[in-house]
Amino acid sequence: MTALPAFDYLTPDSIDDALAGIGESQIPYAGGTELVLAMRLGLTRPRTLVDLKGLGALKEVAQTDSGLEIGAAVTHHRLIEFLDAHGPYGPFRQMLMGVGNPRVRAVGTMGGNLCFAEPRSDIATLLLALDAEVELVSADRGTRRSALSSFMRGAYATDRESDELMTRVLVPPPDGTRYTYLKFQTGVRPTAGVALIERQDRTARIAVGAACETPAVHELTSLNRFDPEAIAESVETTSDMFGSKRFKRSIVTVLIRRAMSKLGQSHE
Amino acid sequence: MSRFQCETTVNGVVSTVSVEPRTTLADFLRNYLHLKGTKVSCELQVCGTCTVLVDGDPVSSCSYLAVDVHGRDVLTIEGLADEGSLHPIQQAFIEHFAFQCGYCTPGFIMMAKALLEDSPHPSDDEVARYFEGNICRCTGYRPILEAVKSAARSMGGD
Repeated sequence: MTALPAFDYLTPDSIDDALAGIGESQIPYAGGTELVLAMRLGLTRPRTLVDLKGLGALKEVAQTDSGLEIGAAVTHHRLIEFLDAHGPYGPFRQMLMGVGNPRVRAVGTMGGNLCFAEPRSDIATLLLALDAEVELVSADRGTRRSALSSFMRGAYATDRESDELMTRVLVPPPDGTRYTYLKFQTGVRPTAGVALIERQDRTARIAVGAACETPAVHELTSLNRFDPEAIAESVETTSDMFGSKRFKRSIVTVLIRRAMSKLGQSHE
Repeated sequence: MSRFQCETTVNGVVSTVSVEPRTTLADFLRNYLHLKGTKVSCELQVCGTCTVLVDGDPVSSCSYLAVDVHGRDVLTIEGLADEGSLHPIQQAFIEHFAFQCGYCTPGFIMMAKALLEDSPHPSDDEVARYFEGNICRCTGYRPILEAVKSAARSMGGD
């Protein structure tokens, strides 16, 4: 077994204590599904892990008129249990059921997924399409909200400052918006993922993720007037062991067509 | 670096062990408690070989910190058999030839335990999806699927 580099471990019992503990090399820690692997591979070497799992406020989830409010330390599994398969967040729940594997879903958290900013995140792609926001708090500057579109800076990069803690993920109510998320996956992470939403006024949005460093968003005036191939062509796909740039563009085209057909539209 | 007093119940037995925070649960089980049934392979949460249950949930013990089982209940492959008689899942794996080299088997069996607790009568599709994150290079998976279905029948009593 490969040993992890040594680090200290803190278990704050309030958000204030946690904020006093985090910093440049004192990293918030919850599920560890990404962080522990990155530490083993030597990609990051924090001095201290600040465990957030003892903070009840970060583990709450609520569905209100203003949408879904998900504590940053809520696990995928807990959220799947919370959401109604047939309610407005049904397709969101369906996406969560395909994240990683049952072990990842049992311990991985919403906040961890978004803060780590792994490019192949199903969650980021769909939440970006749904106009989600994240709430961040720091000891000096209080609470702020950041739209996911500005929070996501690139591969493994976000606009979270090292003294900030993500406390909640806020997903607005879909309000008549129809949406779906489809992906192509052969390993533990998707090769490409496509979120397609259609609003009541028939305008639509496509978010393409996993095939590129950070999800790419396209606004559409109508699902009947656009070319899936042209959208796929415009995505700056990356090439890796799961496929070439061209292969991924072709997968994206297929996923867009399938997503359209799933929403009951036909491409002219 | 600090050490941490980890008090945990493993297979019904309470242990208190001082560990470094970097100790993984797999390391803790194998090298502190000498429970060698849990195997480690990919160390990336991809293969499922090191699966154990923490408070009933399956986790990849290779990438899970031992400090995280403080105050919690861990079940490993050693804790399944009851007084010398095999657990129905273990029995079904034998009857269906669901292993060959056996290295991945403890992980598959612990995953099966978690699945059947949640869903006592899973469909073929449900079993296949649940085991997407478990790799077996010997069996071709079909005997494992049959074993899990058979265990579900013998445990469910119908």
